[in-house]
Amino acid sequence: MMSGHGTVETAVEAIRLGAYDFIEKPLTTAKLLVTIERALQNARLQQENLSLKRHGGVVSVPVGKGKVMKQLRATIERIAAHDAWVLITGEPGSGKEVAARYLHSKSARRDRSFVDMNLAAVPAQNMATQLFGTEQGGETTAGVFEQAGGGTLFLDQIGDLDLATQSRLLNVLEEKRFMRVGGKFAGNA
Amino acid sequence: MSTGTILVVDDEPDIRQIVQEILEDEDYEITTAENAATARTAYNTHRPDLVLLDIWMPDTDGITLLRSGRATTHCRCRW
Repeated sequence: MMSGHGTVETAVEAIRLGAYDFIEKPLTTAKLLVTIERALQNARLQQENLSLKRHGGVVSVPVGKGKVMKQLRATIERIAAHDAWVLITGEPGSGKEVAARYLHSKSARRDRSFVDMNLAAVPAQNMATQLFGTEQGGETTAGVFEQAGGGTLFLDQIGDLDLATQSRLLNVLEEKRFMRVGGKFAGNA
Repeated sequence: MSTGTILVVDDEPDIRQIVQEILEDEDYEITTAENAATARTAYNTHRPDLVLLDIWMPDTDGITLLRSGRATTHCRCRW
């Protein structure tokens, strides 16, 4: 905000309404440039903060300068260009989630949600509702497929799923559609 | 390369011109507006990173413009 009649009241009101700063006229080049630079920096930081929150606060890159890691990053980047189901295998601690997050960050879905679900931590009887959501008596609850809508869903420890849910999941992967528990209509996965 | 886009709103042509010159020298991309109506149009067209706004203007003052702008836009821009 700029003013030729700087009063504390107007300055306070401007700041209260969200202005970054208040410059009095006559303007000096130095003050103008410093204020603008700082305001823009502040806006950029706010944007970065929002973006980090949207991405779950984690910017994940599989690190390493070796040939194998370079190849791994290149493969993930190549896969990320496609909208496809990806099976990530590896020993515990090898960084499957890091790979999944990196893939998400390189995909066209990077501004949408990354939803991470550890299947080993969900009791078998709740698994279907957690994955697909529920629809009972007009009330609906979103499962992770809906929560990740348009983004990336990372299903961790998929081998721990019981056979019935594995078969249901396979159906979702093939049809790219799912139905909430108790629901009548299929939604897009 | 531009270091940011700025909308300068001031009813005084001399101020607009001098601020524009100073900021263009620093590689900012500048749009100017002489009143609230033009400022709103320029804002919607250019979506600047920052708005440099004069408080005292004859038709709609800067505080009112700031209030309406903040209320109607979810912007990444600073005022």
